[in-house]
Amino acid sequence: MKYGDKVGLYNDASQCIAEDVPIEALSPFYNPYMKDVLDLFKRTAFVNLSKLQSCLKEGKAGWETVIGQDECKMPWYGRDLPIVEHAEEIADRIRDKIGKFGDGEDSVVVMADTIIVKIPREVMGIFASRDPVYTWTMVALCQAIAEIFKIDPNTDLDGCNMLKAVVFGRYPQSITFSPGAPVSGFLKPSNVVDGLGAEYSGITVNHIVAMVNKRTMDGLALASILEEAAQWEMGNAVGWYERYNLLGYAYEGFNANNLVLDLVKENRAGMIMDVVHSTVRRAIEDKVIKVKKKFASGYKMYATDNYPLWNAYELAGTTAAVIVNCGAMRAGQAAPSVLAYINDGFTIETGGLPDPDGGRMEGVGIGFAFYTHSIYGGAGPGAYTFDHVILRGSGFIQPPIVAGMCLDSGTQLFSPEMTSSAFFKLRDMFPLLQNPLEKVAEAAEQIKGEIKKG
Amino acid sequence: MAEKTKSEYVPNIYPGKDTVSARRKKLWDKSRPLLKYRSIAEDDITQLLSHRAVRSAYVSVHPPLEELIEPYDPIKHIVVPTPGTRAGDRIRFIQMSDSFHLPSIAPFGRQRLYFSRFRGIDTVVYSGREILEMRERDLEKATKMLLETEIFNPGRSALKGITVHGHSLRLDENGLMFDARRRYIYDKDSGEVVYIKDQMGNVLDVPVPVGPPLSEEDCKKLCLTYSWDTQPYKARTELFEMMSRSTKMRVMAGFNPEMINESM
Amino acid sequence: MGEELSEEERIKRFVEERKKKAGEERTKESGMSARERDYTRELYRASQKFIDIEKGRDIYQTMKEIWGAEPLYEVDEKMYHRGGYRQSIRKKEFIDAGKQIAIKRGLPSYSRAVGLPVGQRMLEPMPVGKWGITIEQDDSHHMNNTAIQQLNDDIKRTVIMNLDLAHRMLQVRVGKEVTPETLNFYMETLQHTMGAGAVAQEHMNEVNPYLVKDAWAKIITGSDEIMDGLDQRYYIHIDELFHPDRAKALKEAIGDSIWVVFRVPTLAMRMGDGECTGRWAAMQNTMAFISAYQLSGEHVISDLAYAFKHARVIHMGDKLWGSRVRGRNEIGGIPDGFIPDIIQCERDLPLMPYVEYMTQDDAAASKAMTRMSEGIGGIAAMLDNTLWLGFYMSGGIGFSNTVATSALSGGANEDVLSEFSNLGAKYLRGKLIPAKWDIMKVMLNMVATYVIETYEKFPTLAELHWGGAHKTSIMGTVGAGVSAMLTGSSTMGLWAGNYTIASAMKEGWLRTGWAGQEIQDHMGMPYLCSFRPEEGNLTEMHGENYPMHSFSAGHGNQRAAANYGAMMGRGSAWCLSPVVKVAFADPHLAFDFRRPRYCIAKAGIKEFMPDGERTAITPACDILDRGILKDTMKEIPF
Repeated sequence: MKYGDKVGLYNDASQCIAEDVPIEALSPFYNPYMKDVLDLFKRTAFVNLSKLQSCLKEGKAGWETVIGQDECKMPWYGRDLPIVEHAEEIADRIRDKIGKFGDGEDSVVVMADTIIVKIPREVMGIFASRDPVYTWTMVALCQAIAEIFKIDPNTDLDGCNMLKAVVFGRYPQSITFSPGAPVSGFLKPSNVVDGLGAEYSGITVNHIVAMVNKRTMDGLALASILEEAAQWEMGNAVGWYERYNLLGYAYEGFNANNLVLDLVKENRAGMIMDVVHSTVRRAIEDKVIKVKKKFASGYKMYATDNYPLWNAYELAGTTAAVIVNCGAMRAGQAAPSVLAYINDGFTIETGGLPDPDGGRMEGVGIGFAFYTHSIYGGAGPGAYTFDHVILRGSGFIQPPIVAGMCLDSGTQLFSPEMTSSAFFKLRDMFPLLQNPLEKVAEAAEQIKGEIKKG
Repeated sequence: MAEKTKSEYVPNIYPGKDTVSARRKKLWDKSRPLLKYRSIAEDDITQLLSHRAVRSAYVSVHPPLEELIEPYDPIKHIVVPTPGTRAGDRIRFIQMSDSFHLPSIAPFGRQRLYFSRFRGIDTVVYSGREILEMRERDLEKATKMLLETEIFNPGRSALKGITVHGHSLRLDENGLMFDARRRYIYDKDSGEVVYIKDQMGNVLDVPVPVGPPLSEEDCKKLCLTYSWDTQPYKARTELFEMMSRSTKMRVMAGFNPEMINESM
Repeated sequence: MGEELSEEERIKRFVEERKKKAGEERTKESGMSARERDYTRELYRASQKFIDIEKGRDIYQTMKEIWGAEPLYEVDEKMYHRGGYRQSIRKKEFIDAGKQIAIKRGLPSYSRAVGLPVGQRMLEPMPVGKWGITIEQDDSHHMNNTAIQQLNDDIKRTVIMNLDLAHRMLQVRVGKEVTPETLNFYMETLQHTMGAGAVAQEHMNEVNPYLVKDAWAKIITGSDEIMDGLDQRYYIHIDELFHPDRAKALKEAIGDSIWVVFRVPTLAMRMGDGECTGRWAAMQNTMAFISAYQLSGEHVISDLAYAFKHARVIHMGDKLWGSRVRGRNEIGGIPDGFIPDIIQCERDLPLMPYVEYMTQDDAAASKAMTRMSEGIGGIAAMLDNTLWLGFYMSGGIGFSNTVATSALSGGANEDVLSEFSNLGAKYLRGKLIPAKWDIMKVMLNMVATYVIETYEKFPTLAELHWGGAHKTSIMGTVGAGVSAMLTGSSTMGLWAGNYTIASAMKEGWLRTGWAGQEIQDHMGMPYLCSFRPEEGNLTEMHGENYPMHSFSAGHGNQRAAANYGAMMGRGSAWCLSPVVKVAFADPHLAFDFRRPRYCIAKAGIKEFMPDGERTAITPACDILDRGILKDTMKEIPF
């Protein structure tokens, strides 16, 4: 065990799931549940056969629009093939082409009209990128359909390329695939990820909201697993920043010591600044900060010897404030304001201690508040990806946004139901994704002994 | 975890003991009520906001919460929704603009006031204006406070839903803040500022008086910003010490969060 | 509220209540702070004494000229009575043009019948820099201003290649000698190929020379010996263009290397993009080599091409990230450290740290400050606000232009900065301040509050910089520039700029700029010295493609002030690259990088002749009327 910090982990009913957990047990390197989730996100592709079939029938491919997807049509190349009916057969053929490189784990599964492909660990281990999720699945899929429906340049010259177009969109004339293409993965293809190590951060807010079925604290947990992993991959948690990140996500994402929920309950009918005051009071009581100096006006300046922990308290306070404010309004649009402006509250209240994430949160939050309310781009919070240029500046801002969107009662145009309907189903397909908050805690409990031994 | 002690914590709210700092402390402390300066009828507020016809029913964006079937989430049962949320009201806005010259409130002043006194808010701060979005009936209630109390100077704060330009301009001949859409005028007979258009610039059937503009003396007394001729900013030692410490702490925290210590 | 009461009673009760409460409040306050009130009264009295001093400031005169009214008076009695858009010549022209276009094309065009009524306030004239030229706001829109366009074009059409590798290859692998004669012949050939003139193949399509009159190439070297052997038309005369001390420093830094700076035709770059520049230049350069040195389609040619296209080439900008993808040599890719090298405003000034200027005399120090404002206002602000954010990122809605315009306006910035020079001279006695926050903050707070008070005292200045965005942009620039000049540290400059906006301005006025304008200032602090991959780094290594800079406006001039200020603060002859510094001293360039605001002002009154015109091939054009090279090297004193 490297650090002395230990926390208790609580579920969203404020019940303690794990006590006395070293913070290392909440690291993606040790926590087995986190590892499983990351593995699922990294290796899984989805083939939407209904969409494939209808696009192929209508001759629809290569669209650019996210919603509608209706601007490109070539009905003369359309092919009416009963693809969904042949789901099992297509899956078998994909399994033959891909599964054989694995260790026997069933890598291809049919669920209703969707084929789920998990690229074997052995394959991912050899390759430098995780792009086989797309490349292998797409090529194997095209071959499987061609084999079953006997499509080749002799039998159906245009059909070959129509199939390719439906699956690949305009790639490689375009550098990536059409949005909402029949083959998708959890993460973006690597060539459209801006910035080193940001892969796990490429996910859309609404996707997470859908995967946790709008359960707020689960949303915080799942978002934290992904963003925490991304922060590690980016190098943002190495050395000096490791404990800072572990504590930050423990309190913000995994309800350490029930702090977030305590603050929410205490201020269930309160205002945003009430949460700031509760957080400061709690930090004083827990001896995280103390009065350093008192000015003539009575204004007190606080000091800390444990900024990573104070930062974690601030993050918990910020998250609680988002929940209190978005919960009162039941609207996701209210999250950015809190993230933008609560920070000054902490700074002024403590006489200048660094605000959440040392000022990163404030900068990013202000940008987010602006771009979710202006003509310069944006959309509602749910349509953002975690790695969006406006959000990527702080790794702690993503989970509270997810919390805000979980609390939305249907006020958003780009709602989870609209942008991420497929992801609601994933929760049923992958029981792993259910109750992530409790599962992280249970996994931490499982390994805490080993970590303590070192 | 260190052993807990019961603290005698009293929120700081803001540094300094000059009159401007005292104003800030007052406005941002919800335990201190704001003085009411004028009364504006609820129907007039509805008109000024221009989101619904006077006395018409509120439009809903979703069914009342009680009728909504939602997946299980304990948090949704902990946080108390506002009345507008409970009813499923649309989210609508008020946008206020505040003059640069001795304003009784300014954009970040509004934000901090909203954060301290309102629930269920969405706000964005700009240089001259600030938008506040809430569920419609909650918004109307909040608007009452914004227009009736000491923070509203009819001469130097204004509803500007669109075309917000003007906060930094010189005042007009009657001492009012500029408005390119001339939503409000100074009624010389009554000595009051009268809105002849709603916040979006549509002409009102019946003008809405909002009271006389504050005198220069009152402007100075109620001013929320430091100014060379009221409370000079450069003399605010407590505030400057806090700001200077905060900027250095942020730089150190960004470099290595473990480097922060009690001596800083 | 008492709903049962009649309206009249309610009002009566309310008024009584209000009077009572106000009275109580007043008694409470006067009881509590009698001394404080005395102090305040004293202050009002004292402040009156300073009015005359305020009237002696440059800014007073400038404001008086602009507004034709008392600059210290906070009421504009003519507001709403200025005749709407008719008070502006330009707007009237636009209305006429809009009508004509609508009639001719049978489709509405510009029309003041839609949208808001323009001109309720005064549409004030704008004096640019200290050049004595006044333009209208609309004249500084990049679509209306040929100089801003040419600034954009002249950077994007520039690429620099090194010939040393190519020369070694000629000598070692092909056995050709490289002599002053061959070099001169190659350069003559190059002037021909740069305009797409054919040299090796017969029956090629060639370009009308009038269209490419702005295509040329020049040698940059630090070697007097090499320059002595060259035809004097073919190299950039460092000794004549720079102050002798600067010339010496630059020549030493460049050494015996031979670089060539290429200017690709404006029209070619505009038809393509910045990325075209390197390709055009490499192709035409290789052709000139082939022709001048009699090479064949032999294997070495591919190495030559590789050297010019990849191995020994300097682009003015990097490729951009995928989410805002553009190729090299576009504005978004320029590293911030190149911008002070592109700016030439300081090049005739003696090479010494700024604090030494201050010890000389007030005029010398103000001159240095004026040059900084000229460069930052005329170039950095245009690149950031007008071009990158106002045009590339948001398509030219005109708001960012007005922010950049605040950096153009004369009198205001210079006034504050020269006041500061005098102040600094008194305190610093010629010594750089160590780049430490605890020391710097004292001076910085003084400067920040001085600027803040200037806005408070001059309602006309507040009206000129009518958006918080304008003031924020100025505040950040002054904070960063002053701190960088005093410390010689770009990082200290950046920190100071961030602090000035995120703390000093915000807490004083409780407002900064448009909603997103503090983004960089808050993130800037934790990022300042961070070793994380997407944070930190020298300000010289930042740029518009640095993620947090890419979408938040009003800060390019702050970063440029940090870099350019640090360069002048240290007393160094360049910021990041001595070769780039020399490349933009080229007097043949249409945009004068030494007098950027002058060019922009001239363009505002339609007296700036840009390159890249197509009139030589458009109908009914007398080509002799066009294509005449402008006068070069015409010196106009600062």
